[in-house]
Amino acid sequence: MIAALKRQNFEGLVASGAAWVGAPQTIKDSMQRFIDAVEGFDSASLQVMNGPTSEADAERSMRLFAERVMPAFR
Amino acid sequence: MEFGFNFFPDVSPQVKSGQQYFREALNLVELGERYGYTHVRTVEHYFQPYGGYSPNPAVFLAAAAQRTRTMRLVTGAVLPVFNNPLKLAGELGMLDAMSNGRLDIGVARAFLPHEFAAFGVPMDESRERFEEGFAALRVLLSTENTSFTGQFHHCHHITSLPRPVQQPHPPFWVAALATEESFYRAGSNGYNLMAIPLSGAVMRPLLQTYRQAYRAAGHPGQGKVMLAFHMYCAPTDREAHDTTRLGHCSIPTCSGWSRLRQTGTRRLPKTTRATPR
Repeated sequence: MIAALKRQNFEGLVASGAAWVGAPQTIKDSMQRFIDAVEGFDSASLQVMNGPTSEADAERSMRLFAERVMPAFR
Repeated sequence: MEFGFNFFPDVSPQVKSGQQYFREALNLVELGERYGYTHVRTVEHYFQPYGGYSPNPAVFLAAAAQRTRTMRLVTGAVLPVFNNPLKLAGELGMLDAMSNGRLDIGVARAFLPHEFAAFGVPMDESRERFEEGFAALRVLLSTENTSFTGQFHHCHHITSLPRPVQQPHPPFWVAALATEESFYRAGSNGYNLMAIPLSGAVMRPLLQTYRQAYRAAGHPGQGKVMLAFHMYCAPTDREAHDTTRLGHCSIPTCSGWSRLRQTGTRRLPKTTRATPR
């Protein structure tokens, strides 16, 4: 478990679809690839405020995702 | 498919105080419900920036319950190994009551050596303590006037109070580690599944194992799978990547862990020296 976590890095997480970072369309594409690869799942818990992320940045990101990404997967 | 928030606090006092972190997190929770997010989840960890602001998920979730009306409240996850099951069952019963039955209970085995060391629990008892603690939690939540005798805990004619709103008990989710066996066991026992997303190629056979085991054991439906993702959305890719890469937004699964290792190895001798002789 610890070994698996240590192997992860930012680029790897984004590339594998395990971190959703980017503009709305980029995230939609990344999500769809991941969903197809694992044959779907039910619930995504989004880590929206990491480390020093400001509340304003987290809020903007969360709103944008809700308005521009979420509807495509409901 | 549904979306919610994961508040895995990846912060130290130098970055954000607990006061600031929880004020901001609760603001986001309240707003998020209006934007269609349907659950809020937090972790149980200790003593380090990697999750350590949340030693008891029920405390944060109880506050979140009072800022929301419909969101599910998810422990992601509680660690029976570090809790007395009598205490844990009572606290989770309170949370289910205070939220009008919106609690989802995720449980996990725990894996960080510094936590086992701090609590004086041998890591090689991790499996037995998890199995026993989780079994005790299930029976305490679902049965009145119950008794059990285990290797680590026992009780005699106990009724955990308050009784859960959701009967026979709130839904259970089991956090699977990276092994196929953990996915198989979660499925064959009929629990929902929590996991950290690995690459699709690794994840796909693990989820297949879970779903097949779930169906083969005759449980209704196919079991639910919840995965936690880092997410940062901005108007452009460049803006999103700049914000995350420059460290304004780190990822607990990697950066938090590397910081944990750095600070962990440096702090330990200092603490030892500071102890009065």
